[in-house]
Amino acid sequence: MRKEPTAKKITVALVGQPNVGKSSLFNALAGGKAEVANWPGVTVEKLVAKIRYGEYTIELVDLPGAYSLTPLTIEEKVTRDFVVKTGADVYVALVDATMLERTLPLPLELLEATDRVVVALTKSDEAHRRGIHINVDKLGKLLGVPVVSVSATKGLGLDQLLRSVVEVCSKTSGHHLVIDYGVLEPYIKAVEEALESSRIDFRVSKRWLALKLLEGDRELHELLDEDARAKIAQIRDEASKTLGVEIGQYVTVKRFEHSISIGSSVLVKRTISRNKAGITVFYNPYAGTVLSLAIMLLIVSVAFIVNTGYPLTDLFRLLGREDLATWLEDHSVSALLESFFSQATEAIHTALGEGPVAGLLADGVLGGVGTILSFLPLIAIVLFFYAILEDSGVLPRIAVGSHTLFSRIGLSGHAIFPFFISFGCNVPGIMASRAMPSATERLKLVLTLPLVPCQARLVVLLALSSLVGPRGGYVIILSYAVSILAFVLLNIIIDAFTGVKKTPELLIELPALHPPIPRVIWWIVWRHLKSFLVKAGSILLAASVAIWLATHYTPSLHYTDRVEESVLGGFSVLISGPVSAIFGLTGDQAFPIAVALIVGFVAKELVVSALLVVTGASTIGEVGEALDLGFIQVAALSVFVTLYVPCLATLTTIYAETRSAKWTVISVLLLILIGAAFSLITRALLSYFL
Amino acid sequence: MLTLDQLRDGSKAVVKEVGLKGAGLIRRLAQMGVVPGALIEVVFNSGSGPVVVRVHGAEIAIGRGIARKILVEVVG
Repeated sequence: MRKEPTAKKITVALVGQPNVGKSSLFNALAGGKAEVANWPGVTVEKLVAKIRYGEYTIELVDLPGAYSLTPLTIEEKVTRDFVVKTGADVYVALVDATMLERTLPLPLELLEATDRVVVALTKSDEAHRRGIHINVDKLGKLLGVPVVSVSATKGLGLDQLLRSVVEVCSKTSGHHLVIDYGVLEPYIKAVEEALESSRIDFRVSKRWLALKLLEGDRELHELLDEDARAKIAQIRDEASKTLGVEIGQYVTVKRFEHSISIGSSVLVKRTISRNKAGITVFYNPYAGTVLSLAIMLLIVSVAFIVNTGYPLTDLFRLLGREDLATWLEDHSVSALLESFFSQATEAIHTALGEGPVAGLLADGVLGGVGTILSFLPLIAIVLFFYAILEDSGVLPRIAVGSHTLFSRIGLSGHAIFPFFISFGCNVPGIMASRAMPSATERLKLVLTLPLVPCQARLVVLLALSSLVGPRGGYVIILSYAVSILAFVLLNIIIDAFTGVKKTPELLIELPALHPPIPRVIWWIVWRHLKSFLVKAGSILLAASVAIWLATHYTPSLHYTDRVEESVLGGFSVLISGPVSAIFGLTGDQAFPIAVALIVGFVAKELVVSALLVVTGASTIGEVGEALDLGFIQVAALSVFVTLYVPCLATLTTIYAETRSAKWTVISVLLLILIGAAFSLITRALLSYFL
Repeated sequence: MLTLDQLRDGSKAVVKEVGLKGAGLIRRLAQMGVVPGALIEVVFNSGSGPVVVRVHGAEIAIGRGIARKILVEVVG
């Protein structure tokens, strides 16, 4: 292998206001090599990719959207901290060519701070289509840095962009953008002088630093020494009095005005913006909710149908087309997976016999892989529809319509999609919580969404309810009602706990409505799918193997095929006490239930098979005879199963979203606690009334 | 003087005063272009829930509580 000359490594960060097309540009440049993580300690997504350009190795970083480098949200804080503390070799500041003046303020602020910038005019194809023409050269002169027109979705201008980036890396003009702040100018100079003596070495210009300190940036203020701090605080007070308005607002307005003036001098020709009679139907709280519900039902139905064929199979049967129904069932994803895996399992047993190794491979490893794969179609379909709704601009509009409803429990309208999707599967629901505008709401949603009963839990409920005959329907209805109540209550309680006084006020910019772009859809789906496969995949596989080992080995590490003797069995005996107490069971009843609940931790579908295995039954009916459970016991059990810890895939998704072991553990404990509490309450109420 | 939440769909107005107390909120509104002197057009106002306006070419959803504190003067 020929040894290549050592490439020069540079860090390039993408900066821009929300909705300017940062992730599209990132994806276009990164070409699928994006690594998804979270910024340390926060629920904010971090995208990084390594790409080669000529002799350079570029580490591309996508910084969260920000309106300003004075943070009002956690996203902005992440971006600000990166610029001020970490720093990049070159920044690509994005400006939306279709909304030049609107999206220029942040790039302007960045240019006041550093000159290692290349401006990328995004959506230039769309601007061209609308008859918007921008004098790129003039813009470059006014800003003092290279300006490149790009179209991420069409892949235009990308090479030129990278070329400019590399050029800026080796040579910059040395001048920073200066905006005239009028009355504030003397104070800015005063702060700059006060900073002279300070020994701070930031990657940003003194003038920008002075501006931030005048605006009252507490963090930066703390980094100064005593003298400087006192002096600057005094200057700030004087400025405040002279100005009459809040300094931050003054600066913002001045920057905005500067954007507008630049805009008017570089926008060469613009056709009168055809006022598209806005599609406002999504804003209507009623129409919006109904439409959203319909879309959600469609998504969930399609996911169900692809996965198992139901409910389309029932429809086919109703129409007398048994042949179509059977075909669909046999070719549904779960059926295909099952046939593949049973063949693979057989092959393993044929080759390796019946011993522990065969079992480990067949049930542990293969079983784990099967579980992971079974999630994929469901998640992929949900992500697909989510991407369409998001990219087209429909999703944020639905959120506006749903805002009033969800704000009653302290969530913004953006919770509507994750909430409904979770009825199909919690995993994509929690993934979709990224759309929440604030990080605290995101966390709240991630903690409360697992309470929403998913399809897998429905399967278990159906099995459990069959144990009590015709009254089984009530058990299912009760479980769903309790879980939704629990969801609402937990949100309210969390708010009370964290002292949130007011319902979140909505203030959000809506991206333009446009037909979704296939390439973008692909990026969104693939990125989430890949991250799920890698993260959840490895954990599920490990857990599957671990469960297999725990159910087939005794504490003294002898192989056994009797659950009672295994480690898991031993653990189940340990918790049989509490299990009996909570559900009102006898010792004999408690053991199988305990095993089932522990195994259900990994995946709800395993609950049913565990019950069968432990009781030695071959149908649910026989389980019923073996356990002889009463209505109240089944009801209490169903409520618990619905509420406690959804499954390992969900837990890994929670961990992936929060990037915090602490919150994941809290989530588990919280759910078990809530499950037990509601279970006991259910038992108490039913015992009293029945 | 009218407040933003009182405007009907399709009406155009100029922002007169942003009567809010939270500095952060005022700044955010400014960043979105909602400052005294800005021309806005009401895209959607159902009487309850957020008000959607168009300002400087983009649509913004403003919570009702905030909209109630924005003083406007109808034009056109």
